[in-house]
Amino acid sequence: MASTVIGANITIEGEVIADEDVVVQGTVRGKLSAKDGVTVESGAVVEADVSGGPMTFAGQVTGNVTSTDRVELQSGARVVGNVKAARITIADGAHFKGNVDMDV
Amino acid sequence: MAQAKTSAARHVPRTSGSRDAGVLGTSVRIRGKISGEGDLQILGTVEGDVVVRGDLTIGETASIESENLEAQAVTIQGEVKGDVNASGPVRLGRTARVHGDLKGSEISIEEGAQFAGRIEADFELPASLGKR
Amino acid sequence: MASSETTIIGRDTRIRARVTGASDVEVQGHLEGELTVSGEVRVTETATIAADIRARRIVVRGAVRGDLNADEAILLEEGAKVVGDVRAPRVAIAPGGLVKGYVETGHAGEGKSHVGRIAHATATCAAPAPVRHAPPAPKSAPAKAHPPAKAHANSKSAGKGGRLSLAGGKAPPPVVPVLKKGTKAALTKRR
Repeated sequence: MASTVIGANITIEGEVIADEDVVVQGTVRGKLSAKDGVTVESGAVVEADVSGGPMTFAGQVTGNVTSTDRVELQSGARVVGNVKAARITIADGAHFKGNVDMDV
Repeated sequence: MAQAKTSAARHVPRTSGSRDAGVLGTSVRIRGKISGEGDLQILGTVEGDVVVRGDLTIGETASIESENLEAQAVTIQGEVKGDVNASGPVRLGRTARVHGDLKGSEISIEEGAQFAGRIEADFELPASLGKR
Repeated sequence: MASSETTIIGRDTRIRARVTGASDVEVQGHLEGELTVSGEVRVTETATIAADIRARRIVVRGAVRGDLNADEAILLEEGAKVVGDVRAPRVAIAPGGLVKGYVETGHAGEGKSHVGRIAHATATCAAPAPVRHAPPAPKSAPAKAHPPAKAHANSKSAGKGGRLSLAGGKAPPPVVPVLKKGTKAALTKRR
């Protein structure tokens, strides 16, 4: 599957615009927008507004999140920011602080 | 016609008309301009411009100090100080030590070669990279 | 040491950012900004990059507008289109690798990644013992050219000026000193 993978030891400061999936294992500061899925793995740090399709967060996300699909916060995820999505799942053990808007 | 003054008054082989390769041997030292119609292989020491109509090969033992080296294809295995203007490809081998600008239809440098100078290949970047 | 994970900037991804880190990076898409890593950078045929690239090793098969600096080697393979300067201890240009710029072998690129790896090759020229002070620099050493700045952001354009003329004093063999006349490359073409 074609996707962009931002590895654990990499830091991106700026804007990422992808017409494909994005998997973040490292650090992204700025802006992240994907046409497809966004996965923020455990250990990853995203300090950015995130927009895209289906999203799975197991790491840290600080910023506003806008999804055209669903957003899933897995156990261990730490999300601070407003989430706008059609569906949202917050697992036991996930940390979340922000507003949720499912009126999309 | 090769014309050159050698400090040791040696006679340099002529390369007129045909593409017979002229060879300047390892012990040949020349100070002055060299020009020729055919191919030329230099194994010795030259101080001066080299302008040949054919291909130019500068061997591993050669040492050239020049303002202008002009030929069709240029292959360098030795030491060159000077700009290279080739109408054909320019190739630097692993043992080349070159200080000067390179121009040619294609430039290649083998890993291990020592080089410092400008290379101006003729091409355009994709439009998305525009002007900086 | 490079991490086992290679970062891949996919073909349909555009990044306008500063990218740094301690791993290998493969760029298949578009990158504008800066790329400084301590691993290997691979620029694939589909990549378009408008950025200076600093890495341990750089292999290019795509288009780059920017300077390339590596601690070990830079390979411009067939398909490479580079407008910018290329500096590394070892540089190879394959037939079909195209470049417009100043190319120099024998010296490590200035500005190692912020992770601060010092390849042994750099010892040849960039940093003999006195790293931080401008060494008794023979000629024009703009001070920032010498200390291989670990802060990559500061060192962005370091090392461009006058390396060869400096090298005249203390350098490794590679190139013979300044030509007696006319060969512009030696003096004026370096920024």
